[in-house]
Amino acid sequence: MKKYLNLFLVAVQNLRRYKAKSITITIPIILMMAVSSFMMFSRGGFVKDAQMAREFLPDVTIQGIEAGRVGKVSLDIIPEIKEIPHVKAVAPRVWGYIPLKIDDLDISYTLMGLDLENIPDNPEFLEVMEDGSFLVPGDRNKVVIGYGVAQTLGFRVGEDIEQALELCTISKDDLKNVGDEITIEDTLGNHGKFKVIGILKNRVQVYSADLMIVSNDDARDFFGYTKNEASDILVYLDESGSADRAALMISQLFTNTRVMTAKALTNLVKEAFGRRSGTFSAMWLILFSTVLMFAWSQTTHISVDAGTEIGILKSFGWQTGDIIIVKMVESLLYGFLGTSIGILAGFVYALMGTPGISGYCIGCASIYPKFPVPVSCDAGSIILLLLIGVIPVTLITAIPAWLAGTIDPDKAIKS
Amino acid sequence: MISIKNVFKRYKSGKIYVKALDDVSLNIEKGEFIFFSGPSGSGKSTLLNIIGCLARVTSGSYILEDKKVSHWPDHFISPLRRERFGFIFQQFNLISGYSAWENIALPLIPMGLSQKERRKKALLILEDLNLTTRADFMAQELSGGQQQLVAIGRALVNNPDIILADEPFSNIDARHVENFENILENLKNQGKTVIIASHFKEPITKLVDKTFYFKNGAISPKG
Repeated sequence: MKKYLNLFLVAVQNLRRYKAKSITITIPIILMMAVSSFMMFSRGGFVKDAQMAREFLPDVTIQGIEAGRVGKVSLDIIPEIKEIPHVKAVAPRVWGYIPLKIDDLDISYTLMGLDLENIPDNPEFLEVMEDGSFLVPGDRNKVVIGYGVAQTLGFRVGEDIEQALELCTISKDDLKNVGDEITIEDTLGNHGKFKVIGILKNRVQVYSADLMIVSNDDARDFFGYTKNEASDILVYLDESGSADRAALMISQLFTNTRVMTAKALTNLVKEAFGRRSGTFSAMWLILFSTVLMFAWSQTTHISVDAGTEIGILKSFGWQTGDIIIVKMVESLLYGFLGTSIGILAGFVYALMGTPGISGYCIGCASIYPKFPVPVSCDAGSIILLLLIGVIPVTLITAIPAWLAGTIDPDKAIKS
Repeated sequence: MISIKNVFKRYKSGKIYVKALDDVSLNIEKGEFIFFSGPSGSGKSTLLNIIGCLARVTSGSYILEDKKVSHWPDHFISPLRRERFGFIFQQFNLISGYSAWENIALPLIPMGLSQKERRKKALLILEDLNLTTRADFMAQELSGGQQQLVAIGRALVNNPDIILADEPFSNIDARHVENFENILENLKNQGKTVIIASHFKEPITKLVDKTFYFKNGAISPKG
């Protein structure tokens, strides 16, 4: 065992001794793994977002169709929907985008009205509050805003006040607090005054970043809906109900509606990023093959000095196996070091909001300039990334290690 | 102790074969001080490498203490090199990036000795060579003479009974020749077998018991 520890330490020392070679091999691995880890952490973030948001989605969402396009839906259909087997609750929802201009920035938020009298109690509502409280049935002129909205509007939120200040033009002393009132006046002429009673946590970024939640009646007033209109109707089923079956029945009953299950909505998010991750996967594959070929060429090429060194070591009784072990451990260390630094770099890049490519990652869902790409990092992802980085690099250098180990000492010393 | 019988050695250089040794036979007894003399390319270094198991014979046999080692596989040859032979190379061949004591201790690494044990052994050798003060100097920071002493130390650290030196006087100044001769005398007095290969025509030291003259890959009766 001591012998193998000694050989391991020799390999570690070789990394230091052959600094230039170590850097040359490690940098491409760092780049490859940075791309790989950024992809994985970001994709994980989107998927996690979608899964978290799934907890708040109704089983079935019904939208109205007007002249072939999504439009308002009439609440007249609610009594019939309630008759469908396993339907537990039905709630209309009024929502819409509100284009704003804040400090020369064109921003678009989502104002969403909730019918809290009819939506089943969801204990998760208590879990998602960063500050303040959620709406309760009967609340009027009150709003709960998303974390991203709060930051942009200059609310005191989160621990990193400095970061929050970067997102708005308000000075530290003028930061708003939960309980303050805001006036919303969009560029379409809609307006309303609301008291901010709570701020949503940052954990469901895609869904909460641009969200402002008010009562259904307030939303109706804001968007100018009548009492009999809604943007969509939310259908909740009991535990034994099948969302697909209910959706099918609804679409057959009301042909002028668009019916979507929660699963379908969640998949939309996953697929949207899936297509983009495909581009990065292709890039990564090219980078991956290049790095492997590079590692192969670098380790296959044994310099005169390194060859002589192997010859000298063999002349003092080092076995072929000893040399191979040292070379393999060197490769393992290149792979581990490059992969670890790459993972860290990818994680930091993702945390920084993937500067330069965030617009592409988020695509048309880019609500306002500072919207961050969601990041999710867990032990499983890190282990997987380590395996992806370390194993191929180590395996591809097995043959060069064997070639180095079997060098004829006589010829190596003469060279 | 060492018996070389009808040894031929050919190298492939490009598409042609180069004859390095041509039907060489000789015997060396334990404790003898042997001198291989001959011009460059005469085959003396090749035979030294065969005796030290660094190179293999093309045909013929090499017998070491009644064991025909010429065709042993690597995993038998390596321990033999480690335990029986100590090499001193013409260019010293110290490994850069390692200190003097680390170079001396290199042969001990595969033996599983801890760093502490290796350093202790190396320092004892350096003490014998009056080089303790340079123990932590990197190889490239040592003078030529000091490098040769470290190379000698590395050859002796395993306490081998056969010392092989290829052109040991070529890269040191006169000041260090005497020092080296003293070391060789000590080795001979300890009963070790010493084989030196050199381009000098006559033995370089009075310690020599037997001289073999090499010419065109063969042993000639007179230089």
